[in-house]
Amino acid sequence: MTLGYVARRVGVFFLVVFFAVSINFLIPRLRPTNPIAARMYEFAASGAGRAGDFRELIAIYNEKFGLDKPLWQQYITYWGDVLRFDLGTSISFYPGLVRDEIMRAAPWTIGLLAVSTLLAFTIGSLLGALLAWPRTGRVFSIFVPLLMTLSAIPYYLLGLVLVYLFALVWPVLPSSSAYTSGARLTLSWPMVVDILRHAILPAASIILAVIGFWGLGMRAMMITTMGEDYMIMAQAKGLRGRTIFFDYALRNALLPQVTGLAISLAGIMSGAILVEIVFGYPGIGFLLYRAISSNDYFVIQGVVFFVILSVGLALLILDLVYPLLDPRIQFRRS
Amino acid sequence: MTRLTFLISRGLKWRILAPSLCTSVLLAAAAITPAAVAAPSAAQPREVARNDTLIVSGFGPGLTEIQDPGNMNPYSLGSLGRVRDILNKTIYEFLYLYNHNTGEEIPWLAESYTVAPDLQSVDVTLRNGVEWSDGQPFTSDDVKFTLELLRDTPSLVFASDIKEWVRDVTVSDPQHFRINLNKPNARFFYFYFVENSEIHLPIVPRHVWQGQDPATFTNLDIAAGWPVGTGPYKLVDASAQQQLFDRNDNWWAAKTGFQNLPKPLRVIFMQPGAADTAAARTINNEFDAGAVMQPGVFEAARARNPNITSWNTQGPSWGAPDACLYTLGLNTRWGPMADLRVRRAVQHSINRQSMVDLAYESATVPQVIPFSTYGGLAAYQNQLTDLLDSYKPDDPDPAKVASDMQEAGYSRDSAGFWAKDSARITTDLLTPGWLKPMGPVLEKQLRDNGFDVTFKLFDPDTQPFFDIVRAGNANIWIIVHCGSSREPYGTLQHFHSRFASPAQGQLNSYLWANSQYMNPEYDAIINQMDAIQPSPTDAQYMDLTRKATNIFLRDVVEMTLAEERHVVTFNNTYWTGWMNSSNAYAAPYSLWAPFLLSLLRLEPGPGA
Repeated sequence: MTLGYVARRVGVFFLVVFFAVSINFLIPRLRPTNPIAARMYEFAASGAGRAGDFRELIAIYNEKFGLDKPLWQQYITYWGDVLRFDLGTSISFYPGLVRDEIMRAAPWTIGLLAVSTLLAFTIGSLLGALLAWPRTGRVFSIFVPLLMTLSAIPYYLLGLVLVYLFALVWPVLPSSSAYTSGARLTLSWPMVVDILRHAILPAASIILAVIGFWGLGMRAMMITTMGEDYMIMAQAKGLRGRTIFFDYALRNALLPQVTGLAISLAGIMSGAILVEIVFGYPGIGFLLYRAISSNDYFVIQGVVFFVILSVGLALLILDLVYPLLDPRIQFRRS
Repeated sequence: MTRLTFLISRGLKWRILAPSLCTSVLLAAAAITPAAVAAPSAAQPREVARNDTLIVSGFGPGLTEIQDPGNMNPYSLGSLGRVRDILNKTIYEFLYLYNHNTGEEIPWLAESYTVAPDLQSVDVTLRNGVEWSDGQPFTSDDVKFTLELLRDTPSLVFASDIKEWVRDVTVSDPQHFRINLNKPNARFFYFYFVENSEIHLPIVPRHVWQGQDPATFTNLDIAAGWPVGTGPYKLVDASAQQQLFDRNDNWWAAKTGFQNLPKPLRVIFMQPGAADTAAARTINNEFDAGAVMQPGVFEAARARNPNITSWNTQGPSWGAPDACLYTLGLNTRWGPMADLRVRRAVQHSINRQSMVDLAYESATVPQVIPFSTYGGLAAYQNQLTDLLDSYKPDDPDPAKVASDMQEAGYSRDSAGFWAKDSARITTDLLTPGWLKPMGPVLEKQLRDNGFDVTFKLFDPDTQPFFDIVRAGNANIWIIVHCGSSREPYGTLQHFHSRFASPAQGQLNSYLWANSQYMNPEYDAIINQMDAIQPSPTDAQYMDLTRKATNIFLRDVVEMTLAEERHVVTFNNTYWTGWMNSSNAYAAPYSLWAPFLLSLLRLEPGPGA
């Protein structure tokens, strides 16, 4: 890995971020909707439009948010703010800052999705590897149709089924929210247990839905890997089955999975919108949903900015780490 | 590098299998860092048992649910959602409350008001002994401060209204003041200070707000006792998930004997989650009030938990009215609907009962004039039945459609659609998202009668819908007409030409008045109604009402289809005494200020 290669990769990273952030700026503005006016119309739609002429109010807040300026001026201001990590003021939470709203929601989403993603990856990959491994018992074969079925069901639907089963028919788990109503967040063991109990159903809906994705992908990769010469060589050398499984098969089959994992983890910042809506979970997905519903450009831009940054960084790190994971990967010009 | 690669390769399987779990635990720990998610607050709130706690879910996904735990300003951008969901029955009280079911005005912070004969001022007397939650007296100066703050601060919600109407406020003494108006208005006080459902003007404490920037002041410092209000509860915790209000045992109304303290020691407002989840939580006794359900969902929930009730005890129309009417809007000024004969043909195309059955599971009732079934309006409506018999606006009849269209010079083209001079009436049926159940049904009914209309949905962004309709660029659209809850004038005035656009393509001045109807005869009637107080026993008022309604029906200014009704649910497990059609002390909407009356009437239920 040469310095030139690292510089090229970092350059590509900045280029990707530049274009993605620019698109992020443009897309909400391509809509004919003015977000301040839309906000007022929503009030009106909820019945609050009997009084008042909103036009003056719309003009005032358009000016406050800089939406009355030409697009190119807004774009320059936007980049100035982004470079200072100033994501602006939310329209929905005015005068709250977008950064504060994201920071308020992020711990819930990161906690829920990171745990769910890692668990689904670990269980799914191991299960997929075992499904392809010839010494695995036949009983494991039932997992193939099961995983295929689960991977075809959207996780919010699984969520509703889980709520029906475990909160209504057999009420052993809370149906929604991040913690018990009336409780106040403190760093105490009962609160930790309470939060974990509330996370079980949303996490389970995500894990069950994506475990098939990881499992079936891993199974396919393992089958490909099993036909490689080095596998035959390892068996011919009389290596232990466990060693062959972990060090020869699993390790080599895992690379594409790791790429997928990195992208999934980076995408966590966008939240699991539907799961968070179904379970009333106060995370970034719910924040983003509300921002989109209320045309809150600045929150949308803020959340997407973090997603761009985290996906870009994840891919950059992967590019840099690949040669360490697999020495066969070369980064020299041919 | 080789050494590093070796170490990585040797440890690979452990990094894959076990450490990811460790990372999970670390991330889970990060997720529960209270400092990261909690709003600023004072000491830990006390423990309150479930059976002393009232849990209210938000009205539903959208604006009017808990949305901003860091802001309790009732007037800055986004404020109305805050006021209507959490503040209007806990922190803030209003000069008057109102029973929409009966039309009764209920003096609350004020004892009385008198509108001057010239309609240019209102004298108000405040109730004695009212205090803010910090112990300071609530006086006329607070009212003057609030109204003049709104008048002078254009960036606040309702500022344009108050600027239009209020010249100033003259304080006589701490209990008496006069609101001086810029121009006559017989209904100013009722509209802004009595009805308190859609419009909420809470009075703010001058001693807290003076010197603050009212547009950015968050009004939130739990340690300092903010927000300061006169209501029976104090905010003790606010997060994105829930907001907790504990009873203020020093509430002025209890000290003066005006009211008893409410029984619930704590009120919690919760995010409802998705509609199905909210229903599950109500079934599980996690919510006591507020969840709005579709009729079918309500019936399923009731079957699982008999303690769940709604406004009516019999279905299928379980829900309560809200002073809004489902309406088919018609552009009376431009396009094919400007021809009265075409509008009449459209009217004969619509089968209201069928629409109600198909779109709303028979959960509401057809209506033909734009008045709610609220009790305050009944006395007026009862005197108009002969007009309905005369015009028969609910008369679906294809033969009459054909007759009216042929009279207007139309004939059916080869595809069976009405056309004139080879030009077919082809138009979109514009529909905002929250009214989408009606769209396909009305499209089918109109197409069956030869109108080439296509249902066009605006969801969730309704601004383009309103822009098209308000500018007179739509021919036909679905809308709710939210009119008056106590007198016909409040709704009938919306057809005055003052609400029409200056020219096609230019927005009109009022969101809900889009018929573009222009009739000097009608305007003159409304102008006379403007200047008199409503009463069903006032011969002049009733005569004007009849004349205006007669023109409305004669000219098919718009088509009232059915009443909007919401199945608001209550759970009687922990708390009983909820309002319903046979105990109609207030409308059942937690968004409206009179909901406070239910909090004061609740008694522990069988599950407590």
